[in-house]
Amino acid sequence: MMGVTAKVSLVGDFAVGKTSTVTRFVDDSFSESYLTTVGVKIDTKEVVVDEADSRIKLIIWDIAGKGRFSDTDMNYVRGSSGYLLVADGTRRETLDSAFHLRDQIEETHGSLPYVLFLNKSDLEESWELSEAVISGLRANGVSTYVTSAKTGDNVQAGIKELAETLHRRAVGS
Amino acid sequence: MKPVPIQSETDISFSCRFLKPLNQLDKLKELLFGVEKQELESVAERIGELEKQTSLADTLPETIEDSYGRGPRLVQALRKPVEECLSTSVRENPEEISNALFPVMGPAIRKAVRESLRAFAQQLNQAIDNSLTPKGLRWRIQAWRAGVPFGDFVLRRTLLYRVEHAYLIQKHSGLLLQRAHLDAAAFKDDDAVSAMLTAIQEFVKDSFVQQEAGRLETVGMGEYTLWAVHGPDCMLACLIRGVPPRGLRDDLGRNLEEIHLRYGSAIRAFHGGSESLPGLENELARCLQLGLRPEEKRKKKRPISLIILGLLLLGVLVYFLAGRYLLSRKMSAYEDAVSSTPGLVLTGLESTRGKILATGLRDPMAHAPEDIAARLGIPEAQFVSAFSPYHSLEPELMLVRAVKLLEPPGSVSLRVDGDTLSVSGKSSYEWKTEADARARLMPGVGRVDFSTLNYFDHDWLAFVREGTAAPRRVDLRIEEDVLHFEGQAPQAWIDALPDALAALPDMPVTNYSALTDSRSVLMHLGRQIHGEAVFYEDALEFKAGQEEKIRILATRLRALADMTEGEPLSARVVLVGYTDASGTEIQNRFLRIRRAELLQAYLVEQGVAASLLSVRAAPEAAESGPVNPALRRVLIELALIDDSGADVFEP
Repeated sequence: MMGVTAKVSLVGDFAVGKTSTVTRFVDDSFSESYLTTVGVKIDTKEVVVDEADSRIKLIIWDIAGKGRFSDTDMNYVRGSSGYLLVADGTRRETLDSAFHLRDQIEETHGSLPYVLFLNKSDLEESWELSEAVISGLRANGVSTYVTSAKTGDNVQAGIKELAETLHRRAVGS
Repeated sequence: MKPVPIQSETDISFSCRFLKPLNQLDKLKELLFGVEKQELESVAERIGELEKQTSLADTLPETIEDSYGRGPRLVQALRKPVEECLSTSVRENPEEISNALFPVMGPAIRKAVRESLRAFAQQLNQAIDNSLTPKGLRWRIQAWRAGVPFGDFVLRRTLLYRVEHAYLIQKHSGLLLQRAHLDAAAFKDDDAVSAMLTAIQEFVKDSFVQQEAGRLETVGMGEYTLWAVHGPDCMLACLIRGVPPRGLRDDLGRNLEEIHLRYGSAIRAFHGGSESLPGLENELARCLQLGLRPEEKRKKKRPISLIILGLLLLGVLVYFLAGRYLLSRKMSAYEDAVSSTPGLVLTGLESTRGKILATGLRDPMAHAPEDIAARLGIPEAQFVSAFSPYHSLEPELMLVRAVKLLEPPGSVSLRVDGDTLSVSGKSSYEWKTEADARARLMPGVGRVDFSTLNYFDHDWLAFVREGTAAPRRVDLRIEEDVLHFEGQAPQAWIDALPDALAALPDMPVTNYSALTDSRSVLMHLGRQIHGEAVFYEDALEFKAGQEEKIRILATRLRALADMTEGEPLSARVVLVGYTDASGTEIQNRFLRIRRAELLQAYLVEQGVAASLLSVRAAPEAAESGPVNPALRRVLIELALIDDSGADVFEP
């Protein structure tokens, strides 16, 4: 018997640490060479979503990072139940790129659940995002996690939140 | 004229309501405008209906949508009429329908043809590839063994395949709807595989094809082929081991159609939970049933049967080659034998179907070709010959022919030297004359040389007599080229005669069967002489009739003398005189000696050698008594004395 599965896209600007963020947490992963050849690589991650031991399997489409989606990239996003939006906290402009990508997705595929990862929290000295900005994001209903691919901080929690949201929607639908 | 504006229904009803209390007026109006009023009401009714229709057109789409959303009733209600409409339209106005379908029919047909050609080309390529590899050669042998055309065999072998993994993937999300594996140990995360397949689909489509309809259908990976069959909402991806036939795609397509038919709406509504697709795994498992499996058992048996076949082939080959080798050896031995046989010329020697066929020329005097073959151990059934007759001029054959034709006596020898036939030895004159005439008719003989041939003459007979030391009483004569020995001779000489003849040159056939042992003749003669008696009258007169007896006796005695001459024997004949008892003793004694002497004189007179004969009187007189003429006689006694002085005569 197959459990619940959901397609999740992993999007964000170039070099924000998308791939390294999830790689440590996934169960199964294709070679990264796919990213450079096909422009996408697939990882899977099974997440336990509540006490009743319900599980959801995330099929994570790691889409090669660019500031803007090409048609191909957009096709990769098609059919996603949600997405992980990744920005680099040490480069303010990547947050703008992330929201730009979000807008593109919403324009093409409608509104989908997502969580925002503000990555590279371990690089404190070059951190560019103030607490106020982060609070502002949260206040606007954006599930925001300050993460570190290096230490693994908050990555699990962010993925879990998205998984729970998707599980609710899948079971509820 | 100013046109009268048409009053609306509201206006008319308003005026009617306003005039209601005036019944008189109504009646008047009824009278004045009765007909027009009715027409007006009818018009108002029609306008109302038309307005109703307008509102139905507005609400109809919504009504249909509403009905469709509630359940399948609308579809069921519309299905029959729509089907009938289409069917009627196709029947009555086919052109319209075909025009409408034209834009889709062309591409569909072209696509079908293209797919068929591609599958055909694929199989053709495989057939060509396979025909030039070791595997191809092995298949050729197997096809030959099985008695099927090579092309058929290749197709049969290359169509071995099996579907090992099947994935049903939701098209827009790449989520795995269901999967089925032949081998329970799946090799990767199915969900990831499903997503990646979808990603690659997208990648290929966007990178290369750039068409909405274009999509990845086949991926080849060594012995594996990935086939993707596309439906409107999902894709069926099958990993196939081996080379699948074109027909498999049709089967997979049918499976996918069935899945769409049964689960179409569920697939569209799929959001990740597989519970909404009950029974789908069975549908997918059917895909795995497609395919053919190689027969493992037969594979295992094959090496043994191949070894047996190989050994059989090897045996047949060895037998065939050995047969060929032995046959060629026999043929070459036969060729040598014939070429060294005079009178045979070989013009052709070949082998057909294990038989030797020899052709050539043969002198009638030469050995038979079959005999030579038999001598070399070639079975009669294996040998066929066709030899034409001819005369060979080889010396050996000419000599054989001369012997057959001239029939020379044993004393004659023939020799061929070039075209000269030399005749030497001894023969009769008659034979020589005849031989001379015949020899000239012989082919190849240019000259007959008789210079060394001698005749059988007296000198030759004397030569033979001397050479064999023939006794005097042996006669030699030649008759028809046969030498005859006749007469009497000592047995020892007769026994030694063949050796004596063999030592002589050019001897003809000899016959000495007429020779007799001289000793036994002598004994026989002696027995005729010994004991013979010659009778007298009372005095010295021969009894009447005794003259003839004396004459025979004389002849025999002469012969005896003759026969003992030269013999190691000497004959002694004693004539013994007798008297009877009458008369006086003195008188009788005188008579006895006289009677013997008288006979002796008489025999000598008849030619008997006196030295042979001696006389004697009987030693004592008989008792005096009566006259007895039987006692008045002379008895002849014979003795044969050999070299030792013994008497060997056997009376």
